[in-house]
Amino acid sequence: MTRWTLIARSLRFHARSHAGTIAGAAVAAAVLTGALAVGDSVRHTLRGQALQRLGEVRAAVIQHDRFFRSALAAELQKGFQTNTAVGAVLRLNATAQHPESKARANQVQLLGVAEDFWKQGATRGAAPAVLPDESAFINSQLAAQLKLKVGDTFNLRIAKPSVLPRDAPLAVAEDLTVRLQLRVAGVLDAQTQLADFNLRPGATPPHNVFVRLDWLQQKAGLPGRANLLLAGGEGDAPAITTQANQLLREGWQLADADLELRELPQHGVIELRTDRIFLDAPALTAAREAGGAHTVLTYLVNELRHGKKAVPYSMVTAVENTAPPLAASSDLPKDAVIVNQWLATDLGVKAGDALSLSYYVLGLNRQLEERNATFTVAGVVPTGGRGGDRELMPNFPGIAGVDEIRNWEPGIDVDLKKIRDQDEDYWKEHRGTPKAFLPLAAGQSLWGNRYGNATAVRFEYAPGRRAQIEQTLRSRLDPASIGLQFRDVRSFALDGRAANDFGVLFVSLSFFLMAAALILMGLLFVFGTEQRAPQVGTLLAIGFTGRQVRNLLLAEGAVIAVLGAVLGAWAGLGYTQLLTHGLSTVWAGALGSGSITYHVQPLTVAIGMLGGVGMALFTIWLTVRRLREAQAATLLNAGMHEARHQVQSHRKSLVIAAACLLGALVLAALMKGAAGQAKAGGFFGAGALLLVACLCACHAWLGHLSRAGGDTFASLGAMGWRGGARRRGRSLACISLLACGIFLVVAVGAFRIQPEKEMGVRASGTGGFTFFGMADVPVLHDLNTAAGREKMAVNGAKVPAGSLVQMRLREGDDASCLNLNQPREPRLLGVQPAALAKRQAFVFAATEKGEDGLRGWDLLSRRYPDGAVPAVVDMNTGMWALHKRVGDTLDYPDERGGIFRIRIVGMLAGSMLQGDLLIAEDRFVERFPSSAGYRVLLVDAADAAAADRARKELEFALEDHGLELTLTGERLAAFSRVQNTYLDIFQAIGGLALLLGSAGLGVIVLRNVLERRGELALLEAVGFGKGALRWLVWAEHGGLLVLGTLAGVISAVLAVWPAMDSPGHGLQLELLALTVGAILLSGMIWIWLAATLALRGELMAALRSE
Amino acid sequence: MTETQPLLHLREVTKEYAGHNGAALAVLREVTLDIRAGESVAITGPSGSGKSTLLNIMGALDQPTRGHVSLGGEDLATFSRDQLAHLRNRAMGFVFQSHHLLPQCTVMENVLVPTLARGRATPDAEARARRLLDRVGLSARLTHQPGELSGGERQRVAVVRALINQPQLLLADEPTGALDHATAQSLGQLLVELNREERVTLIAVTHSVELARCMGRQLHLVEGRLQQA
Repeated sequence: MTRWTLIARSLRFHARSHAGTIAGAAVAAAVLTGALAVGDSVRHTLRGQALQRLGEVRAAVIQHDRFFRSALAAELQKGFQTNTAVGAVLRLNATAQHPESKARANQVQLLGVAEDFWKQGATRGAAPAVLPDESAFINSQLAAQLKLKVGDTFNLRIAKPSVLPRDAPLAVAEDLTVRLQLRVAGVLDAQTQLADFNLRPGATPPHNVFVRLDWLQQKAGLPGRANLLLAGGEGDAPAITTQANQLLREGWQLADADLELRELPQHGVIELRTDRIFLDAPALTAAREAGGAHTVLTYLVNELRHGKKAVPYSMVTAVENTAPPLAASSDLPKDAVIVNQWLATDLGVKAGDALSLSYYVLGLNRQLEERNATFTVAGVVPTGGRGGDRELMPNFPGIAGVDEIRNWEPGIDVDLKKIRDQDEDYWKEHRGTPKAFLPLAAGQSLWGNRYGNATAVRFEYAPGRRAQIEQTLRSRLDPASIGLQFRDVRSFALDGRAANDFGVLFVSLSFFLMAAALILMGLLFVFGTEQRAPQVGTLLAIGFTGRQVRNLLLAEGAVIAVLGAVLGAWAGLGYTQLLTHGLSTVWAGALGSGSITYHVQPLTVAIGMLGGVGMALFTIWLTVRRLREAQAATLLNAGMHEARHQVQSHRKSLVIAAACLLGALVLAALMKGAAGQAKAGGFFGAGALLLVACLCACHAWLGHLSRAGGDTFASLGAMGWRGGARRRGRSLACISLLACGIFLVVAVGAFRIQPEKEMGVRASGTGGFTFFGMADVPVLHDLNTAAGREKMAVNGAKVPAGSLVQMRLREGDDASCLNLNQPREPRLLGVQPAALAKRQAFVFAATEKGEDGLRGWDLLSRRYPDGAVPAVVDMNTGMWALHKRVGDTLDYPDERGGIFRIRIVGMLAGSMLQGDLLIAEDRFVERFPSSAGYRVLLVDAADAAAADRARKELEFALEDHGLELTLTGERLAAFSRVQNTYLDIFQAIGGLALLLGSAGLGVIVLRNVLERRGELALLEAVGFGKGALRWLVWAEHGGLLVLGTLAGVISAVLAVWPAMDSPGHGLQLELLALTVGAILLSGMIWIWLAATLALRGELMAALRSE
Repeated sequence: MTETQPLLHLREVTKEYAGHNGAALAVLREVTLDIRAGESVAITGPSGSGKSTLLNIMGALDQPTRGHVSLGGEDLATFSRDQLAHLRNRAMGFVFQSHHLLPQCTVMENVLVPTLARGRATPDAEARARRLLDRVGLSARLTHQPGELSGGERQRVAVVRALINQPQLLLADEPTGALDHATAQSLGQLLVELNREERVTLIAVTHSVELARCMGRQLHLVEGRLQQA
């Protein structure tokens, strides 16, 4: 015989009493396994979505506002030895509209693709037929939105792409959109035909339109250009990415960076220039390193004046002192200007005269600011002579190639009335030949801007040197520095990484249910052990040590735990199905949109099982740990309870209760003046302290009752109370379970957001704005100014000045709670901090402290020694999607492929700006100079009528921009729905736990009464009727029910106190009443059931058997 | 231990409990007693006189408030809780008024349970169990469970369980208290015979005058004080 024989015998003999314990362990394991498996399901779903949106794409070059040659794809293709296919795509933003129903779809992704997009392995499915002109394939998302079918036509309005950034000086800001009419050639299948192609993970598939690449290039005015390179096919994504980048570095051409190297032998130079007008800094640096280079900056000045004479609209070039024509004059002062003969004659200037220049400088939002600078004429050079050639003028759109000045259509206001005949003559004869020359440093200080500070680099001409310079440029300029870089878009996506570990999240949400199951299990195990007290005593008496006895029981418990966990893990799969079904139906709001597919990994089941075993064993250990000190004699004579619980002092409990009560009051008083999350958190803490105080007070009171041996019973009820105190541990477990359940369910319910209450309140999640607007085509002007409104044809009476906040937008991952995927590059918004600061819009939950005294939105202007860009983010986005706190940083790619650091300086409480990072506009344009205009609008309206007027006017005026206005309350509600749904889930699971908790009460009642059937029989013998005995049982256990409920309610009310007068929140009295009512009712049912069961039959038999 | 040295020695043993009003309640008062190896001793006395408390202290199931208890010359106060458990397992056997057999185990298994405290039951222990069970007339009941035995049979199993580890001391607390007269008489006889056969020192707390008379020495406990009967 071994100890295992003994354990096996015990298990078999006590199988019935172990059944309850096994059930408790099974519930805990089921909840754990089920919750963890939700994580599996979410990962599996996200992986499936990633496969669907990426097809076979492994790596991609994503250009936002730049374009490369589409031929680059074919050139790279040759370098691949494997089955990898490289394809070029022109991707543009568009707005789609049904011509008849006028149904509209914004944020449409228009993709110009070659046939090889499907054929070359970018997708696993069958390629659709070849597209004719004016035809498109669409995805079902768009077909559903516009109710389109094959053969229907629809309209698309696209943002007309421009090589020259729209915000750049002299860039044209007219004709920003192009209208296309397309016929639906087919609705593609998402599973096999890459219909939902998208490089960014999103909450829902985009509205996709596929057209032929060459056709779109022609319509968009970008022949031979593309902005997306895809490398797909079979193979390892990181390896393909590495190889593609290697091939890109070897095979890129200057044209892919919008650079042109042209020979001008007539001027003795080879010139590097760009259609973007201003050379990017990396290109300029590389060119300078090529040796023998001179930097040139040519700018259009509004006027050249000497005294009363003035020449309008002239080109002025800044060159290095070593370059002609400045090189001819030695020791030129900084304010020197060389003029050409034509200008000298026209103005009558000579060396030593002052020459005044007036010129425009472009503000952030295309606001023109005219500035002046005065120079001293240092010399005169022949017109069109050395250094003064017409090729120095860049290809300013609307100017270059125009025959007459009066026909100019530049991107700035020009007063053509100022043009004189001699000016036209000069233009006809010399075109853009500069009339004046400045030292380079002076010119760059006047006209340097975020796009660059050079319009050309010139090299000395020599036959055959062009190729040599090109080679040098290609070797010195890393294509990645201008954003030409493949990135692995697959590995991360296929990880199925969610913004949050849903397994852990649901374990947290189910925590209380697991705790309730374990407490119930612990109680049942304790009851089983207590029944066996004489056996334990016997084992101790015959020489087993306390530890040995404890280990025997633990081993028995381990078998129970394993059995329970195995059963539970199996049942957990059902729990997962229940949760995933709930998440796809009644709780769909938690996932933003879309649904999740049930999927379970064996490892998760194993973890759930082991976790279940661990939890159950720990609980059992807690119940038997004191057996080490058990006294055999006491166990043999009196039983387990008396062996454990000698009369204990309740003074310690009273001291803890008093300390916690004091702590709760002090904390509540301190937090009264606090705001936001700090206040909510503080009061929650105070409520929790009060809960502990209540439980300790109950413990002390039960202790007092149990010691009140000298007191006499005043009534049968008092006798019942005394009975409740006999098993203090059981009674307290019951009170705690009920109190904690009520506290959690009610207190957590107060975090529910009611966004409709936040409309129009500045210090709220809507910021007090009425509309949130998003445009597909950027608005290039400031709509708060009369000039801006005039440009955009917006009626100032309907959209008053100062009623808008405009924001720049950098496309990125949706980091809001509507998107389950882990965001890598959240969307960026560029905002003028003052616009929000003066409105005191939104509520900051947390901000970074600093010695500069900056607060709130002004923190966006903070400068850091490490160059980090301060950012504000919604707290939910920061904490749950980005996993960042205030002071944390994240790296973000800039437009040129470099990385800059963003530092979180503030977090907004529950705002409608979820999912985005907000940085100051000036920092935004520094990092993304090509990103033009504003795509996000926040609209203020005084009242409903003003809101209606503003909405109609803006949607009419900005229809071509694809503006979509959403009520801020609705937007916030969409985000709040997620949080509220999680609260629903928590409360639903918490409700189950409470049900289990009240079942625990039933078990305790039954146990207590069964244990004391002898006592009750004695009472019957001395004349008590069944009714009186039932009342005794009611008094004893109803007291526990009332105590638990009271402790929970009082603590919860304190915890939610600040929410009562907070906009968008509030104590849900209905919920409180419902919860308390349900608990009281179920508790009473359990007590009645247990009392009836225990008191039925012949009680006197129990007395006789004693 | 020398031949003249007692197996069990109690010197001025007092046991007190805290009363409800805080005052100490003495159950045993300065009890001094020597018991030699092989002796059989009956301790009698009225209910509440402290008989069971005295037996528990002798059997290292309880500790005196004051005074000393030594077994084989070793002071039990110097033993740790685990050492006392080992001592009980090695040197003592207990028979209680209620048999306290494990209901889930067979007769044979119940007898062998004490050997498990030291690991597993050895073949020698199993052979001894069979012999003793045969000796007490239960050789046909080896695979029966306690629920299938009569009260006298259960108590005989409890006696064999107490003897399985060849203890020096057999402590019996009202061993016949729950039995009818004939069965009680038979069990008392068995205890005395085993006292001789197994050379085990027998101390029995009992109300039974007949059982007490079977013992070599009788002690009477009145209000916590020991008197020679």
